[in-house]
Amino acid sequence: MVELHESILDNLDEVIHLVNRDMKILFVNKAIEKLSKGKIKKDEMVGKNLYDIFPFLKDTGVDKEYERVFSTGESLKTEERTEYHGSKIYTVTSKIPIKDGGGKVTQVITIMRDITDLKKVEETLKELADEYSKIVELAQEGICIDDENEKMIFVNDAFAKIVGYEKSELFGKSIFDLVGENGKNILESQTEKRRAGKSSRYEITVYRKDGTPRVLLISATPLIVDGKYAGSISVNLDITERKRMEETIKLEREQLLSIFEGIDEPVYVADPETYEILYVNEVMKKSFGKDIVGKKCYEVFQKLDAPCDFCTNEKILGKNFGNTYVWEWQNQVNKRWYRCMDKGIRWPDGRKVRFEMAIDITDKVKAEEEMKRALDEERQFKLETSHYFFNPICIAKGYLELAKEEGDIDKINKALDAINRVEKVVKNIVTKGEIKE
Amino acid sequence: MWGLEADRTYKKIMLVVDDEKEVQVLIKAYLPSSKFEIHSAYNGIEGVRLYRELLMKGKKPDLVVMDLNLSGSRKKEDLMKQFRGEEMDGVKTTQEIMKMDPNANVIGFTAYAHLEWGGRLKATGAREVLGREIGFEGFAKRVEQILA
Repeated sequence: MVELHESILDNLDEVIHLVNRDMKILFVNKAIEKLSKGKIKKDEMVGKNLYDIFPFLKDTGVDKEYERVFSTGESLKTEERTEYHGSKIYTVTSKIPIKDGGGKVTQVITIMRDITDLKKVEETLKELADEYSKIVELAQEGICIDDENEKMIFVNDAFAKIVGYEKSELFGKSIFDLVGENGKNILESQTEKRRAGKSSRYEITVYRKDGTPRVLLISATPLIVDGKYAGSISVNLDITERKRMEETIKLEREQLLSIFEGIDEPVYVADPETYEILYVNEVMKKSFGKDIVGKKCYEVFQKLDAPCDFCTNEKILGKNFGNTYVWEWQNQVNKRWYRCMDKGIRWPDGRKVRFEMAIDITDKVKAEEEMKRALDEERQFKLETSHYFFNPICIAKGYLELAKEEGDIDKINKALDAINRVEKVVKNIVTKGEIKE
Repeated sequence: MWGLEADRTYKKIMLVVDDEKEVQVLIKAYLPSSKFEIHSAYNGIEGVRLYRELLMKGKKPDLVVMDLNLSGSRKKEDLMKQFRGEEMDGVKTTQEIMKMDPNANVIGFTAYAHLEWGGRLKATGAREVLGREIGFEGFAKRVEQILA
């Protein structure tokens, strides 16, 4: 029966030992071997003094605990942390007195449970909690926790900095206290969502303690405890500068487009990556239609299925960004001539885009062609006149001079032939409008 | 033998490249044969060939007289072909002669002296380009001055 008990006790995870008043170990189960990682054998302990085996127990006051149990007859439960052979061991120990028939405590049974693993998990969780707390405190975003009455019960440093209050001043305050009338309407609607268990993101203007406005982008989530609304947690991003920049960009865009609108020549802007038309001015709309924004430039302006093989994007983008490229081109759709001024510009959203202003030079090209034709005609006229007049006149003069000296009829006839040539040309000019012999 | 040497010594050798037969005749009439040995070419190819032959005979021309329109035709289409350089005109002929002999002495005598065509002949290497309006008397006088 004793062996049966011992076998059962040896299979328990808890260390169990029994000592008498002299602290002599009467029994210990096998769990001590596991706890000591095999450094102590159960059989080596029995019959020895507990403090001889574990001298540090006296240093940690455990001897006093045993004395108390022996003297009072009351059980004692303690929690210890022990350094044993370089390892930290956490234990929960119960010291239970065993009394004789006269009520005197003769032995104490000790049950010791190893809670090292549990403690390590606890410590890890605590470290994580500390880390998380630091992250919350160090976060650039303002973090705020409200109770079910929208009163702030936690804010981090960033939130306090954004709204310009001390943290202590904010506890008990409501975000409703930081907004104007319009903001209150937004908050009421948002609070309704929270109470319905919904998260949401919204923008709102809050007023700092000094009265200056800040625009916040708030991501809020309800806190539900036992199925009931218990408040909300929000991450508050100060987007005042971003909003200001957006406003500036919007203004710049409006100014830019207003300049383009004021130009009487066709102007368009397209995305060089997608060829999507981003903007066309009124002049362009009149030529190519009102609903062309969003369509491909090559489809609308050139009636092509693919980007134009004469596309000038590489001349105004990449290393050429900022350069103006001027070229002349006859549009094959409307057959008009344009002087195109292309330039890579920064679109208000930051994209590098293609800007083109096309000046209609059809009349100028026609005038130039007309002028060139006139010059060609004039040149031809001079050539023909020289050809048909100077040569025969020169020949006639030559022969007449000779005939004058020599009285030679033959030379006079030759001179007359030459004059007849001129006469024939003149006659052709007069009758047919043609210079020819 | 003595006679030939005397001939070479005193006569100036001229090559006239002009498609107008009457011009060729009148040039010879106005420049005395006692002073000038005149060779006639009626188109550019003939002009280049004659210049080469004269050189080979040791009779390098002292002066080449070059017209511009060497078409041999009175049609305006042929005139324009010459003008546009589609055929061997006076400019191209001069270029060929200058390639053969960079020191060739070329003057123009042409109806187109005052037009762009005449300018092109001068740019090719002609020392001057005379217009037909100076007449054969004026032309002969200028040639004698140049070769004096």
